[in-house]
Amino acid sequence: MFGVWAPGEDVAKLTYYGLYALQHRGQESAGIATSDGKRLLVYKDMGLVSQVFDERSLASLTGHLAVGHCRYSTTGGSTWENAQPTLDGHDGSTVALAHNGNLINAADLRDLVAGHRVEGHRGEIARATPPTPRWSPPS
Amino acid sequence: MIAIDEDGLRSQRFAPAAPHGCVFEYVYLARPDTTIAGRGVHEARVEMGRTLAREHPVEADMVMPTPESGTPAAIGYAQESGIPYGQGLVKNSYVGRTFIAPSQTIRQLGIRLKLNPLREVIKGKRLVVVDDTIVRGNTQRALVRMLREAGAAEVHVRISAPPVQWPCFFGIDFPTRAELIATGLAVEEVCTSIGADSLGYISEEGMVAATRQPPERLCTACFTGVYPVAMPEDGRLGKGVLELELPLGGGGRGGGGDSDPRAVGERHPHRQAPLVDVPVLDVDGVPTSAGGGAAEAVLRP
Ligand code: SF4
Repeated sequence: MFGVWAPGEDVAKLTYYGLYALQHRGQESAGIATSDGKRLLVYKDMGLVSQVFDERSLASLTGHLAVGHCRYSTTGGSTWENAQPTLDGHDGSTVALAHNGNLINAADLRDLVAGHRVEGHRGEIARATPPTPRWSPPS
Repeated sequence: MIAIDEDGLRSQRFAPAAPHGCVFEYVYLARPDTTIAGRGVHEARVEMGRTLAREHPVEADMVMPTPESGTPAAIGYAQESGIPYGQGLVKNSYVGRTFIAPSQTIRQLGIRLKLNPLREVIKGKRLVVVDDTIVRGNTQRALVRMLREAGAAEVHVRISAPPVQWPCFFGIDFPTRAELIATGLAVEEVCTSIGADSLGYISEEGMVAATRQPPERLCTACFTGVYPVAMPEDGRLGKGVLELELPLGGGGRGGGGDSDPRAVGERHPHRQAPLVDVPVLDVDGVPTSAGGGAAEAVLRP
């Protein structure tokens, strides 16, 4: 996983090279999410970082903050749906999430979340993550 | 928890920390230029090689790694044993993931697609071949045969981790226990199975000591079967756990009241993770894309 906050920088390219350095952590899929604070864009696909992105796709990822992920699947199959960052949320707010490791109580969490969701989403993170965590950063 | 935004970088503790860092990071996973908990990963691997040489010495003419991951431990083994270090194999680093499913003919090339022996270097020598782990044993078996065909007089295999005998539920997709070569076989039997003249694994203590971490701060579950946290029962674990039909057992009301966590440190009886996909494998044995099979077809949109 890689994250960057850098107004004035090409955050998509920074994240691309960050993921490139982390390619050994996961070689099944790769993705980058960028935002300008108002809008969120996610581009992800199956493959190595260098196979997923090119100049055009990186140029379309604008903003001043970004997270990136290269995936090695350990919970959930190696599918496009499970590639990260995942995008989810509800009216008014959206979250792109890049996550590492396994939640060993994922089945319990999923059951917990299932009670709160309007309709079930497929995918490891979507189903194990409460709808848009409302978290205020410590100041 | 770390936050980075226009106000800068700051962190907050939201729960007491009881870290059990993955010992496998030091053995294989991490890039060698990483430092984890103050310990350089390359140096830890070299140290594992030195320890391996003390624990399993052998008379030989050359120490060589299985590139790339066996290299630091092979350097350590050579340093400690005084046997010259050499490069007996060349690796094609670009095979990687081609996303092109190999034909049967190509698949039969096996490790030769990735590793080729340097005959002039190997011929007539008694070799110590250092690698980081034996998982299924297939790679080592092919490797030993390839080295013998290239003229090696003896092949002594040394492994810089103890036998992998238990599944990891924290982020490594090891094969099921049934497929791990070390679960059913003793060291001598594994040695016979891979066709080596001798086989030696580093001890658990030797591996842990090389990380310079207090043992209680490490997870060693895949080697010992002692898990650092209470594990959910069978059926609520494994790669496919979130892809079975909802709800799995909690009746959708949450809380998972019917799960029965085992005590911390207890061996987990888990033998077989639910099999979700039987994907097309590329030359590295990595799925070429989203897996196939009826089980996964159900999950596609
Ligand atoms: S079981 Fe523990 S030591 Fe082994 S790979 Fe998993 S986290 Fe690492």
